[in-house]
Amino acid sequence: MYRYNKQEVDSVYDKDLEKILDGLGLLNKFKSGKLKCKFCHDTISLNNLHSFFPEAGKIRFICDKSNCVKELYYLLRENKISL
Amino acid sequence: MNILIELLKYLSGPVAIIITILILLIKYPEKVEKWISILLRFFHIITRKGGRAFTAFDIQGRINEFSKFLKNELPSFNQIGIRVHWITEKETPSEFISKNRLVIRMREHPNQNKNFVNASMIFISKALLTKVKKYLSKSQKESIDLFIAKKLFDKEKPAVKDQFFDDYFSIKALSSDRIMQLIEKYNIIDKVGLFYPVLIQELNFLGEKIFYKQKSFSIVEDVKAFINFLVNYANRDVGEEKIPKNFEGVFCRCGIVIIARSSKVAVGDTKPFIHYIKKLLEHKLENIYLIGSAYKINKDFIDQISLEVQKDLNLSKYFSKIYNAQIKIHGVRIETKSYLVLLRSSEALRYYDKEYQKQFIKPIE
Repeated sequence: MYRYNKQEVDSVYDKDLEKILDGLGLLNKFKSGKLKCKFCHDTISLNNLHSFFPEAGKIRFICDKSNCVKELYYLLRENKISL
Repeated sequence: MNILIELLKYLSGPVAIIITILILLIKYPEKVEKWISILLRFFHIITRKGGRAFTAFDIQGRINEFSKFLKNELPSFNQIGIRVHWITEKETPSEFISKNRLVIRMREHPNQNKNFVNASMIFISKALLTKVKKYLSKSQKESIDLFIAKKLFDKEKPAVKDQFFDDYFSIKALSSDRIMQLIEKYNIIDKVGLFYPVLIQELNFLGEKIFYKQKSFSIVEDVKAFINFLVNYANRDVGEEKIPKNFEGVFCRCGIVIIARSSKVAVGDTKPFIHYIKKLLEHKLENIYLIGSAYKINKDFIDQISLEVQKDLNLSKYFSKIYNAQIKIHGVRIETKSYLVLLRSSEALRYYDKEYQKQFIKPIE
């Protein structure tokens, strides 16, 4: 058995994405292309969604462009986002 | 283990299988996760079911195995694994917001390489070797993450490596000269086998320290000098005397002693080395790395020095290891076995107060 701690990583499977977004009250915005990437402000879709997280009472989305993911890692390393 | 194998011979089939599985689960949980993921993959391909379980086990198995490898490379590594947790639609927006956690999107099976690369990068950036990265500059942190990720993906099949290089490595490394140069330096240090046992080990010790007055810039400069010292060491030709063989760090507080002078080794003359280590300790250096060839006579000589300094100089053996190194002989890299002993002072501090810092934490003349 494991003799060390495990870091939980919250994940959403593609098949569950719509249900999760519905639960968060964001499905309509997602379908109508109103959700934007926190960094580049591009429209978030099923093709480019990388991750999402809460910030200042809102839910922020990150697209999979390399610069946006790089910014996300910076926030993670600086402990501005938790896992 | 042999007793268990003998015992299994006398047990009936199903019982033996169950006991074998239990033993494997206890001894190699990461490998079991990987095997389960292979079974789940076939199940998923045939039935189109079990995609979540396959995705989770595959990522966990591969990353946890790498974490185990790191523990072998770096005894002080605080081993940590990963567990994929699927969020559910039952979570309300307020619950989700109050948890304040990142959620990674996992794609369906044909994109599993992308899932693995994304999850690994997030895990490495956030959870792995956090102490190591505590006092580093942005480019030092990023380059270490990228280099460690590269080593993780080097063990994987070409399609995964391609995914990593396309999505991360080439973009990040090419976007910054500093990062590229640092990665090149780690690569050279890694050739002589010192990336984990010396560079990362020392950064880990550094990350455990608390300074009365933290001068980030000075620490970053110190780390930079240490990296450059290791690069010079890694690039030196065997027998080359001009390149400094010892590093006396300001914040790193370590000394490296290369034990390879054949004349001293042949006659077993430990005195010059003991005298030099004593001098390093007078400067309050805390970690002494003895490095040399793993050739029996040299290894025995290093062990002899190690024993003598443990007895006389209040040092204790932290770990020792034989490792593969590509050393340079007449400009050509030759694969060889090297030996390293890390000795740690019993006076090693975690907190450096004002007086101590003023007296000792300054460049040694």
